[in-house]
Amino acid sequence: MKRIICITAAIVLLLVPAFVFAGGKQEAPKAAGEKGPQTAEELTIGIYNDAGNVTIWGGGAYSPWVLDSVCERLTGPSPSGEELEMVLAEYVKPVTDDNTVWEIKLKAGVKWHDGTPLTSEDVKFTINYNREGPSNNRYSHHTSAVPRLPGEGITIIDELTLRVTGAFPMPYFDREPCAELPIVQKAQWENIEDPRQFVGKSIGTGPYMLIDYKVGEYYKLEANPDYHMGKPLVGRLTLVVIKDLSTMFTALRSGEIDGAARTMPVELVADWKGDPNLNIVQVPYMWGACVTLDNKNLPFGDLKTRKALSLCIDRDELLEIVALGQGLSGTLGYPHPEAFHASPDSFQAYDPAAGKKMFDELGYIDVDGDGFRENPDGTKLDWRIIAETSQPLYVRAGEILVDQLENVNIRAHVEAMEKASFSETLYKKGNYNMSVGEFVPHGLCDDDMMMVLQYGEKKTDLMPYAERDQALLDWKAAGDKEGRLEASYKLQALINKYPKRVMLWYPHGFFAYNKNAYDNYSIVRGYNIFNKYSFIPNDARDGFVLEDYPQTGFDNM
Amino acid sequence: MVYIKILFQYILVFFVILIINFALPRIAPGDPAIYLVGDDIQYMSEEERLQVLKEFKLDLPVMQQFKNYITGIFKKDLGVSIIYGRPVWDILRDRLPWTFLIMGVAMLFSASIGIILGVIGAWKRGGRRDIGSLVIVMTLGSVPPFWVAMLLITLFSAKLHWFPSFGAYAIGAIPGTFAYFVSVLQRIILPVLTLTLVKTGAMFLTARSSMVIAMEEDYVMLAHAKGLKEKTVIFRHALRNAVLPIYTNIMMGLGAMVGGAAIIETVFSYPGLGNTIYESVTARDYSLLQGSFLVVSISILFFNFIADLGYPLLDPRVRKQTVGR
Repeated sequence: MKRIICITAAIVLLLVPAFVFAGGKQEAPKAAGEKGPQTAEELTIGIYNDAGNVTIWGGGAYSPWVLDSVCERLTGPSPSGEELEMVLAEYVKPVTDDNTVWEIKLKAGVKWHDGTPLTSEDVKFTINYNREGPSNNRYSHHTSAVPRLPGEGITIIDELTLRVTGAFPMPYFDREPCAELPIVQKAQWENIEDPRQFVGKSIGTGPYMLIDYKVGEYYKLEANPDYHMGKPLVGRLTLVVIKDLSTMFTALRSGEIDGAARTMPVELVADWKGDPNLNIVQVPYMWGACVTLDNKNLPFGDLKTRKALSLCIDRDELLEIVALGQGLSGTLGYPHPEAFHASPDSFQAYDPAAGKKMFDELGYIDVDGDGFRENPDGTKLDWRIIAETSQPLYVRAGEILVDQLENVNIRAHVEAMEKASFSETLYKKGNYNMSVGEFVPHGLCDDDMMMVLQYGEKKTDLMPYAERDQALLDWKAAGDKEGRLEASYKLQALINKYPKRVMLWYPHGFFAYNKNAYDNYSIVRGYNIFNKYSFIPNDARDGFVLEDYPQTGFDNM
Repeated sequence: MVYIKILFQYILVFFVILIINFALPRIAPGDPAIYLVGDDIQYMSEEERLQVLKEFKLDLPVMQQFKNYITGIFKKDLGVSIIYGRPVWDILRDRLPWTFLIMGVAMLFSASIGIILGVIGAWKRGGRRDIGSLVIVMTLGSVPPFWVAMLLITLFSAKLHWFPSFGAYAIGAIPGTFAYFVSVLQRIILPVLTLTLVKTGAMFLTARSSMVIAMEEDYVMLAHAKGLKEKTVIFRHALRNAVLPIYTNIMMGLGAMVGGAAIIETVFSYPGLGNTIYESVTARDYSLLQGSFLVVSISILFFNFIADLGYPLLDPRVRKQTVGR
């Protein structure tokens, strides 16, 4: 027995120092203001979810920047930015005054990762495959709906040039789909019948090539030495999937990863902003928190009830309590205030007195004297607000909403549900009144996506909304950029007047990285600092990245 | 004959489980099409929705899907995962070894520590050591596992930099090399420690209560009266008779081991089966759920069967009953 104890003790004594010395180590911190390395051989970056097979059928949902690093778009950096630059295209320009026909010329010499040249056939194939391919994906509606690009309208002019004709004017064609849709290689995809079950390595034109992928664990990307915008500054990127938020930021702080590609909780920013090894950057995040109302049923199928509710929600209070004041108030309305197409007059008002009056007029009156209003037909009213259990901030927002509604004598309650049940309730069952959740940049900052959503809403509206329907037609008919923007402003005013989505707040985004490993990140609107532009040569980034973004969020921490 | 009867019972249970495994994900609220197309689902027609489901053969009538599921099991074809677009069997084959590793080692530690503490506790019942063990083990057993995990990560990863906080191995390391082996060892310590801390309680309580009952039996008093040494009484008389509940507990633990520990594996980003089950539940990935549940069910049935076979060997009374039947 004694011998066993002695042997065990010896093994432990030998192993512990080995582990201690082999454990993660931090490099010496850089002095304040001193720049860290501008290039790196390898970086390990934490991503919060698997991006699938890095194809247009699996890579867009959680980490679009991973897909963009492999499969690029014609223009960039995103459809929501102020200005666009050419990525794969040499130019994208309208050839008719009504912006129905556009010509795309590709840059000469751009090669796929397998060495074959990018041609106009690839672009044509990509549009057709997304529109009519074997399965819908996240990009399909920007080829089949808004804009609508019929197959017969795509004409190849030569190896590098093609013309695309839309079913209706598309003055922002260079943004949507050009800055959104990743171009795929015809030779790789034309015979694939089940794109969602494709397990090969996606061939792209981007600065990185996918060399290894372990389901749910990691991606290994290697720099493309022949990248058309210059050899990347980081040789290899290892993207590790770390789903737990605390684990990801602990790994960042302990030096196990060099960057965390997910927004930091505000409390953590306040605690860590003085860390000598880390840089925390405020970015234009372009996400929003909102209450989505069930427009398919009463009471919120009725426009006036939507407006009355919207007037009773104190967005500033929600911003202060839930988002700790780190963001913009939802009173700025839809779309995101920093989106290129946001009307300067967008506004969702808070006026509880006016809201109360409207509820009175709509017949929501306290009949039985219990302090809460009843439905117009006299039945008890208790609105059901749903939120996802995995999103505690939204559950908390729901609780505050209950209090705010109580102030106008409306009874409501929050139900937190797991993700799949939440989605089913929201999209299929419809037995809810409001849901609290997030609105992604694609829906908040993209003019064409606004139309896709409005068309969808129109299909499901309980009651007709003629004014909005006319605005949709005006938007569709607008042939030039100014006219389209004017029509968009008009539509936004109507969306904000009777909102289906009551905007609550627009959070600031904070992202952190280890500045001792690599200190040459750039901010891209909507794609934070973890984007392909952060890894390509600095002179190639011009126009794509924000040179100076105000770091106002740190002021009140 | 008795064993054939038991085997037949297990086969019957297995088929019932197959039906439940198939039905359960479909009864639960949620729709895999929502995972596949996201928000767009609300604007899609039923035909468009079925078109999406068709890629995973989920548009077929339920009975046809069930037939495919049953026949697929015998052909080692568990379908294709909706989340990953890969064969379910490939995913499970990758993840099972990691689950076996952390759960097996944690099981070994928690069972050993639990039994030792339980036996000592019962032996010195009411003493300071017993009360101390009881309080510590019960406290640790009632603390949420994710909280223990986070504390350990904060201490050993963030503060001391002793152990990595996530993954099962160093991504750059080549399997089979010493560096790979060390990286695996480094990464199992925190998950195993967490699991051991939270799982020891159950084993401790089982061992302690079985021993307490055994220690009050007449044969223990007789052994004492015969003047046998304390250790002999404890280990040869009391423990031997108290071993059945402990054995059952261990076998049940081994059976459930394959299911992994979803929360712990998620916190440590450990690529085990628990993590997979969590992901597949969230996405309503029917094929992956069915496949995962199938593996877990087979494991539980197998260890229960082994437990049934082992009882007569451990306890002569059961042996006599079995022979008498």
